[in-house]
Amino acid sequence: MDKIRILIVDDHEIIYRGIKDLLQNEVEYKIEDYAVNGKEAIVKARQIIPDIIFMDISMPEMNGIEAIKVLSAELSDSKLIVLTQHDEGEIIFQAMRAGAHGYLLKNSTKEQFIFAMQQVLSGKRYLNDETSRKMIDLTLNKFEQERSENEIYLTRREKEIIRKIYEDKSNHQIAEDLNISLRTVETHRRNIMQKLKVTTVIGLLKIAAKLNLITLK
Amino acid sequence: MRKKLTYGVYITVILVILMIFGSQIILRFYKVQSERLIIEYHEISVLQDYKLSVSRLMMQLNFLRNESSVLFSSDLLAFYTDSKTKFENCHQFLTTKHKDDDWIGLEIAINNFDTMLTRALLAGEKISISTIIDLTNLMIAGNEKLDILINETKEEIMHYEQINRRAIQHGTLTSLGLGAAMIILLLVLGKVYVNNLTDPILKLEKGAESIKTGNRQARVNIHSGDEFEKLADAFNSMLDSLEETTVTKEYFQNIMNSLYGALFVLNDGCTIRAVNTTSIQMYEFTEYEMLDKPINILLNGNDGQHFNVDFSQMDFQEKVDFFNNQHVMITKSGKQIPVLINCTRLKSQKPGSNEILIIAHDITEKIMMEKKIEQNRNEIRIAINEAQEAERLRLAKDLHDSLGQQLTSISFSIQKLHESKKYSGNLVQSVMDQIDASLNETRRLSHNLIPIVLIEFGLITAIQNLINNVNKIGKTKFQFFHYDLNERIDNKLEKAIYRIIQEGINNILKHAKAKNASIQLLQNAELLTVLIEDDGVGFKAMNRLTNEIVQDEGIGLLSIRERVSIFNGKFSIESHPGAGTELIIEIPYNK
Repeated sequence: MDKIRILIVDDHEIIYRGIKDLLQNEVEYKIEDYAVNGKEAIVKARQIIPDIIFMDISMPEMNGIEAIKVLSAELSDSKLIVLTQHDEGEIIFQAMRAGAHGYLLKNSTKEQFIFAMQQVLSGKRYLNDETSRKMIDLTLNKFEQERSENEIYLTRREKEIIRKIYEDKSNHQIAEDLNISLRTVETHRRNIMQKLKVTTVIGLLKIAAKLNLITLK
Repeated sequence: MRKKLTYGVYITVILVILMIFGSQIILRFYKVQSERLIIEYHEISVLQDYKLSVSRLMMQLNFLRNESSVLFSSDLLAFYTDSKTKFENCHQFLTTKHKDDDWIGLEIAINNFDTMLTRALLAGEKISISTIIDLTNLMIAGNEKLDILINETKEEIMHYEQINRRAIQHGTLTSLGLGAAMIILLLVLGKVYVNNLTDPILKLEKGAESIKTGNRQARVNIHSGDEFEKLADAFNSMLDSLEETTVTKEYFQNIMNSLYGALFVLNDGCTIRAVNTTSIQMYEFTEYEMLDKPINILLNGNDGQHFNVDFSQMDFQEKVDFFNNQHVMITKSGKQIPVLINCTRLKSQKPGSNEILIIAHDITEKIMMEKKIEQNRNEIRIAINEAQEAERLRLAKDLHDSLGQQLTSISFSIQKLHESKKYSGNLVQSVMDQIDASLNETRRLSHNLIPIVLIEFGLITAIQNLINNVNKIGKTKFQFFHYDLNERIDNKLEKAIYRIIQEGINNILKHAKAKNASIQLLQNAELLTVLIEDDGVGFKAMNRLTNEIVQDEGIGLLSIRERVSIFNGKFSIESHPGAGTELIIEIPYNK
């Protein structure tokens, strides 16, 4: 049976040696080569077409995510496992979206290493409990965020100003009424127009009426 | 001066009194002369009366003698009585001067006549011819004497008339002479006197005239010992001090025109009354085009619009305060010139006039220099910040790379050790746990030093990540919105905005006690706007009237202010106790 060929991408040699050491006794895994950044990884992966690529995220020249984007599109047979210290949800999300098959933290145990490799080779994706929870949280957040982005968000202050504009108050009067500076009113007005994608007060009031901020008589 | 005038008056009064006396004396002389004449006329009058009476008596006597008729002494007596009365008159009136031999001769003749007549009358009714002849002779003798007396008197009258005539002549001459002498005296004395009086005035006038023509060395020498000397001394000392403190008009004009600043004199209504050459050069208007125009034509408001200041609503001090400031002025061709204005009240000769003196200094170069310095300073600050960030990045990398990787590698080795079953499983597990904890700590430290998400994925992702993290731990619910933002912007600005938002969030978490907070990022063609709003307790942020920042702003807001100023942005805070807080950050950035 052919050995499973591994490419390690990390700008620190110590990691390469550590993993080599860790898998020394596991005969079915063979660490083929080692690259120090995304660019080198792409070149070497194209040559050797490894079964598994361990990819770090922060690297000089080209980071892991960029490299994953290229490699996942090009080499469908190579499985990509992110091996990193970063455990931020956003990075997990971006890496998985770029095409990574697994996400492994560097403090993982040997068992987790082997389990992750087995999972991705069998065509599954691998995330441990912690990383999968973070990934789900983030996805939910993003969903929430996208939904609220589709609604137009106006702050309390912005709504107040729209009402004052509807009352046909000048910027001076609005500033006086709300006890804020004229410049602040001007800034808000400009921002409101931009957010609602309107150029005239009439357009602004039309949208404001649609959003039930004001009641047109 | 006053003394002299008083003397003059005294002398004139004395002269007038002398004139009155003189004329009185002359009058008195005339009067005596004319009284004499009157007496003489009286004398001659009684004498001639008497002579008439004697003549009549003589005629009677002659008649008697020629007729040789009956004589009636009573007839004669009537004539004689009349003659006697006239004689008595003469006796009474004639002055002693005439009562000399002739008069005595007359008296004797009359007495004889009297005696003879009385005897004749006593002798009988009839008077003899001889008696009549005697009487006639006596009468002739008396008449002769009378004639002498009359002639004498006539001569006297002539004498007195002559004297009188001469006296009139002399009197006229004397008064004319006296008058002429007085006129000449007054003319001469008056001339001298007036000269004496007006000489110092002329000297002063000459002095003033020569000052006017520019001879500032001119002085007035008066040693009259009176007020004029004092006046001259005052005049001289005034000139001395003038010499020290002021300059000629020409000299002043020169100074005015060589002033580096543009000079304007404004009246109460802020209309231009005077300008200097610099004003003309600076604003490109001719003098004529500026005079009597409101200063507003030179003041620039925003966007090249004229600044229409309503000066009529300001009192004098407000006007001065308004001008004493930095302004932008506008030239005829519309060029805008930043100026620093010095404004003072012009001390005018006209009382109650409130003229304003304005000197405008062109500070274009100064502002350019300041801008350059500011720009340099900002570049340096950016560089420092960059260096700081780089240092952080290096530290983070060091932590992440060497320490983290070494810990990782140790963890791998321990795992091998664990496999070899040489050591107690519990002990190895405990070491592995500690290494895990160390790795986590390293990661946390490294992340705090530099947000790896920001570097790898940009502002929006990094802020979203930040907010996701704080929403997990804090009581405040944060929301983040962005509008029209490029995926990646300048990485220095990215870092700055990330740190600004981080500070904003920290402030809200630390102080605001807010339920909700929102962060908005907006980008339009030239501005990047960050709005951080919360509904927390708020604070007294800024005195809007004086635009002064309240002192205890806190290190968080200060660091935001610092970062904003590096990128020439504007930072404003709207906050009131109990009414939440708004941070508005606007940074110029071309999309």
